[in-house]
Amino acid sequence: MTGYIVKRLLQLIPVLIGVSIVVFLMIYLIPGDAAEVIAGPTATAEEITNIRIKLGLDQPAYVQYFRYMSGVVRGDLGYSFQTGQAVSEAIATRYVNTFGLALFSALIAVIIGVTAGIISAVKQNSWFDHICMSISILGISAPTFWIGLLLIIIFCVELKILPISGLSGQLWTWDGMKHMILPAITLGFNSSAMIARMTRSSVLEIIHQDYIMTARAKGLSEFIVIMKHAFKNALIPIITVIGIDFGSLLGGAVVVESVFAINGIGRLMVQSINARDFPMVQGTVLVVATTFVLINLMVDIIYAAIDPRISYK
Amino acid sequence: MDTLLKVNSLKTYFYTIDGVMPAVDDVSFEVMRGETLGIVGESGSGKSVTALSIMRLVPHPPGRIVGGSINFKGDELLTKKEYEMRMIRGNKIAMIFQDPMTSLNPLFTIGDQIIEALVTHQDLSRREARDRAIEMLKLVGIPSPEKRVDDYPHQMSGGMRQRVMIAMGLSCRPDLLIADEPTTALDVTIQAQILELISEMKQKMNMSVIIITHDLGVVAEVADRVVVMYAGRVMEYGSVKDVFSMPLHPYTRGLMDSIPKIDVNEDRLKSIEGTLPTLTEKFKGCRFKDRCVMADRVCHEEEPPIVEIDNRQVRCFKYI
Repeated sequence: MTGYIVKRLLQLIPVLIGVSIVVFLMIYLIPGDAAEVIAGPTATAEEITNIRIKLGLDQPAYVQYFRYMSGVVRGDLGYSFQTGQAVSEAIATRYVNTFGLALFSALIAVIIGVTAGIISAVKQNSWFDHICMSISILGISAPTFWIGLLLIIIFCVELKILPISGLSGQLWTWDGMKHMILPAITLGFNSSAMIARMTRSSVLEIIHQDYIMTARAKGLSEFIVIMKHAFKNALIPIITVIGIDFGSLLGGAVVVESVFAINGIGRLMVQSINARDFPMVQGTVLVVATTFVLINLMVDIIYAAIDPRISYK
Repeated sequence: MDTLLKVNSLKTYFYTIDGVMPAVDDVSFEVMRGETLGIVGESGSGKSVTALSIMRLVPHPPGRIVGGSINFKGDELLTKKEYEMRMIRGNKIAMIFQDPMTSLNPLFTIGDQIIEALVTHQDLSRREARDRAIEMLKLVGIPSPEKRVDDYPHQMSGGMRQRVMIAMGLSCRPDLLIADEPTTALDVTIQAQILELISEMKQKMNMSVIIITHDLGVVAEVADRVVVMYAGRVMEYGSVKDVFSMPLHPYTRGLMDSIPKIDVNEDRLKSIEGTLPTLTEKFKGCRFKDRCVMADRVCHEEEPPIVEIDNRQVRCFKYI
C-alpha cells in the first residue's frame, strides 16, 4: 500500500510539469501579448517594447518558463495586470469560497445520491425506484442556472428565508453559511442525480454476484449483506463519479457562482480572461488543474484502500 | 438412521414475462443423518433451485416457493420467519457454491469472512473466532493457516478457495452441508481432492451432505443415494448402488450411456438427443417424452406418476 502511494506520488511529478508547461504556453496562443495589454491601446511601439523588456517578454520562451516556475514553487504566481494584487493572494481568498461551496454540495450530493441509489437498487422497480430515477433524470438534464434561479424565486423572493446572493464576507460564519445553502443545493442536486444513478447500477450489478449469495447463505441479515458485502464492492465506480464531480466543482462552478454572485475561483477565471489579465489566468488555471490532479490522486488512493487487488502485484 | 431433512412435494415456480416456469415441481426426497445424497441432472433441471429452496434463498422476484414442505430436524422451514431462517443458514445448514473464484468477497480477507459466519451464530469474541477460523483452515488442509487467514481471496488458487469455502461452511458445525456443483469449476486433480475433503469432513463432523452435480462420476464416488432430476421433476430416486447397477428410467439410462468408457473405442461420444422442454401451461405428458427412445402414445398424453419398486422410485409408465 505504501509502495503504491509512493509510486502514484512519483507519477504525479511529470503530470504537474506537463500542466505547468501547457498553462505557460497557453498565453502564446492568444493574439497579442501581455505588454500590449498593459500598455493600453494608445501606447507607442517604443513604450510596448520597454514594457516587454521590463517583464522579460523579450527573453526566449524557456527562460521565461523557468523564471515563472521558480516563482511558482516559492508560491509567487506574479501580479495582476489589472489591480496589481498578488495573484496567489487573489486566488487564496477565492479558493476558500469555491472549496467551501464544493465541499457542501459534494456532501449533499453524496448523502442524497448514495442513499437514493442504494434504496433504488435494493427495491428495484418499486415506486421509490421509479420516482428517484425520474427525479435524477431531471437533476442531470436541468441546467444548474435554471435550478439556481428557481430556488432563488422560491426561497428568496417568495418565502424570503434565505439571502438572494452575494457572498461578500467570510464563508465560515453564520451569514456565510446562509449564503452557501442555495448554491450548494443547486450544485449538489445535479451531482446527486449522477451519483444516485451510478450507485444504483453499481449496486444492482454487485447484488447478483455469487459472493452476495454466499453472504446470505452464511445467515447474515440483509442489511449487512447490502451495506458490507455489496456496497463496498459497488464503491469503486461511485468514488470515481464523486471524484470527478468534486474536481469539477473545485475547478470553479462558473455558472452557479455567477447566478449567486459568489466570489469564487470560477468567476475570477472568467473575469481575468475577459480582461486579458494573463498572470491571473495562468495562476487560476494552474491552481484548478493541480487541484484536479490531486483529487484524482486521492481517488486512486481510496481505490487501493478499498480494493486490495489494486495495489497488489 | 433417523431423517434429518424431508422434502415433500416441493414446488418452486418462477414467474416471468413469458409465463410461469415450474423450476422445481413436486419434488420429494429425504436425507438421513450422516448420509450423502446426490442430486443429478443437466443444467436447468431444477437441482440448484431445490438447494436454494431448502435455504429459502430463491431469488424473489421472480422465484417463489408455492407448495410442499421442507422438514428439517422436525421443524417446518417453509413457515419460518426470515430471522428464524437466518439462524439456520450457515449455522445448521451450510451451502457452498460452484465457482470458488467468485463465491468469496474479493474485498475481505478469508479470515474476516470465516469469522463473520462464526460471530453471527456463536457466542464468540473476535479473537476466539479468529482462532477457530485458523483451526478450520488447518482442518481443510490449508498450509500455514496462521498466515493465510489474513490473505485475500485473489492470493489463493481455485482449489484453495474452495477449501476456504468449505472451512467457512463447516465453521459452525452444521448438520447439513449443501454443495452445489462444488467441483465443476476445478481442475480434475483438484476435483478429487475436494471430494475427498468433503467426505472426510462428513465423517469427522458427523453431518449429512447434499451434493448437487451433473457429473455421475461424482455421485458414484461420494453419494449414498441419488435423486435424478429432469425439467423440475424427480425421475428416479434410489440408492447409488441400485441406480448405477440397474438404472430404471430411460433418462438415467441415457445419462449412464453418455459416460465415455475407457475400454471401448468410440468415434463419437454418446448423448441424449434434444434439449430440455419449455414448460408452459399447455405442456402435456411426460417431460422427457421428446427425447425418450421408449416413448409411447400414453407418454404424450399423460404424465406418469412416481412408482415405487423395491425401495426406489421411478417416474415412468414402463413400470406401472
